[in-house]
Amino acid sequence: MESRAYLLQALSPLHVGTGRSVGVIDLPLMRMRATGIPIVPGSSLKGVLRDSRKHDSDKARSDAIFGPRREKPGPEGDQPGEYAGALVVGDARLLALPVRGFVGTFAMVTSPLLLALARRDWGGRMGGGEVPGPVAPLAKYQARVASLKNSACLYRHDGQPRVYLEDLDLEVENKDDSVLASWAEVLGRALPSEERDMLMRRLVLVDDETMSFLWETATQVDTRVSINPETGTAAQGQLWTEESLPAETLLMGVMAATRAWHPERKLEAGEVLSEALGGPGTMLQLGGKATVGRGWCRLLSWQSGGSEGRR
Amino acid sequence: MRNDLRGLSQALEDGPAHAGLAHERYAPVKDDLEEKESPWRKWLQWMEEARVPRDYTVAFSRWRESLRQWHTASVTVRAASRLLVGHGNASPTGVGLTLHHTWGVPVIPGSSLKGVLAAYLRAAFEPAEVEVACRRLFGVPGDRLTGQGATTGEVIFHDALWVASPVKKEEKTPLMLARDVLTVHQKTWYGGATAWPNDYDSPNPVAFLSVRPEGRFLLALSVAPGADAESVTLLRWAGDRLCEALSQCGVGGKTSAGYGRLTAEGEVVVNPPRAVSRPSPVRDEFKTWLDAQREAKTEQRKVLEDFESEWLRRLSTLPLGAREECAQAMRTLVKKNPKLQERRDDLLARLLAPSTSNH
Repeated sequence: MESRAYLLQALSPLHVGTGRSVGVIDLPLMRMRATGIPIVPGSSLKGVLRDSRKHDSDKARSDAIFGPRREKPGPEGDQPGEYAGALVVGDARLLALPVRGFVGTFAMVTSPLLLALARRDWGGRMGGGEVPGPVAPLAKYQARVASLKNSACLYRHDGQPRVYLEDLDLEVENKDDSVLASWAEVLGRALPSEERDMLMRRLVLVDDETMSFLWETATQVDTRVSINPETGTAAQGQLWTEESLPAETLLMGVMAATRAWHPERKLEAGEVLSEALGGPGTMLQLGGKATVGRGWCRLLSWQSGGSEGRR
Repeated sequence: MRNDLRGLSQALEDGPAHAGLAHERYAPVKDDLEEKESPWRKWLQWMEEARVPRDYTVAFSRWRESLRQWHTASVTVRAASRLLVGHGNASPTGVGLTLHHTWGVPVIPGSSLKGVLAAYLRAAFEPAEVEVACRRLFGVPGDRLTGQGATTGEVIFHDALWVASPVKKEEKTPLMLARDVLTVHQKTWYGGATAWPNDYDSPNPVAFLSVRPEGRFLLALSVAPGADAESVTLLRWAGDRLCEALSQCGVGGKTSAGYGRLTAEGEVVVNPPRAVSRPSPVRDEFKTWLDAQREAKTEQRKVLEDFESEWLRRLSTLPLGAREECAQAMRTLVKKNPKLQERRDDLLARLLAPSTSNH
């Protein structure tokens, strides 16, 4: 089985929700149960990838990758198929959250936990080079940047550099973090060259507790309303709030593949992964509220061979 | 406003780094003091200084590029008047304003545009005329009684992003927001008093922020790749009607007072999806080789010879798009040279010829 890590970049607010809640936000984001990290489930991504190939002339190829389609929906259609799909799509987890700041417009905030999970997705290997090591832990309410000189989000007050994010002022350690710099470098390799600089200058590492506060409170919450055409006012019960991951959010996950099981269409595992990550386009629409421009995402991967692991 | 932010005064001199955050979190308590000593008025003035963040140009060109992968109808619209979207949002001024969450630039949400178009079609056409178009554009809820299933709208209404115009390095980026005022003359009447409106109330000026006229936004509607010609026609039709709606009815709040009128700059352009550049090890290897030849200043004749003997066969297995990229890279290295041009063009023609290997 081969695996390849992928990167998902939101270009518009991304709302992958749970549909209901008991909290103040009517439509909250889907999160991992144990940690609360916002996720895009693999099933969402797989469905979107499959849908992006529905106009392909080579039906057998897409069936070999994604598996045979159910003839009937629901439990009745749960018949054993002739063969299984070759592609396994893992959940995309939050990797870096853009958090608004009083200095530098916004910072891409990540934490040791999120980077540790990303390391796991890479399987400890990247064909082209080594995966950056784990970052050193941070004290509570502390932040660190790759380079004090280049960071766009820092401000020095009485000699102490700080970042000013939403409702938090965090002290930044007065030294460069070379491990974080190599993270920014490796993540940037999945992006076009003109966008790498932006990530390098905005990446800020905070402790896990602060991070979990941010992914709860620093997401985008929009109030939406549906107007009743008869009265011109809000329709009954149609005023709601919805939460989304803001534009520029980075998520990361892993895809794995076996050799295709399709009786006539033989594909090697590597080919299956290349097909899945190199579909007709890199732009996908994920999550809810599609027709009002939500969930416009870019699916990226490292140059082939750059992030492959065999397990 | 929290105390720690006071230390930031220097960084904040040139206006807020993020207009949205400053709008929500940095406002002082409202007061009735004179212009010079009022923190409230100073804050409003400072908010007016908000400028487009530097890196936004990169994000905007990425956005524009991303739209080209789908069937997209797009046009730039210019605000002919002030624009106030999201004035119902919670805000310290009492009048909200929708700004881009991450970048803090003004934005018109896709949901607003979709709503405006729906309202315009309802107002400007007979229901029967646009019934089919509306159903396809906006979708319909299912109806259990008639047994009709629900369908989704076919067209994506993207958020209309603020257009970043290029600026020279030393120049300041354009301003986005402007102070605005609304004066309530019959406060008690609006407050739900039982008395009729009268002339005895003192006027109550409410200061707030709105988007400056002349701001430009990129309007974009998309349909997924693989759509048929009919959907593309619908896309163009929707784009044209949306432009009419924005110039005639406007978008956002206070449209009845002339706010929110936007005029299209030119025609709506519909682009078919464009294939993206895919990772390809051989192509990248070739480009690296070309760069190495450029570094080493290898003789161009030699470059062409090596290209023929070593690369032509290897590159011919690539898909056409990747081969075109290689050809372009070759053209930039071996430039106009009367002696070699013919040879080069001949080799590139062989590279781009329809591949015989059916892979």
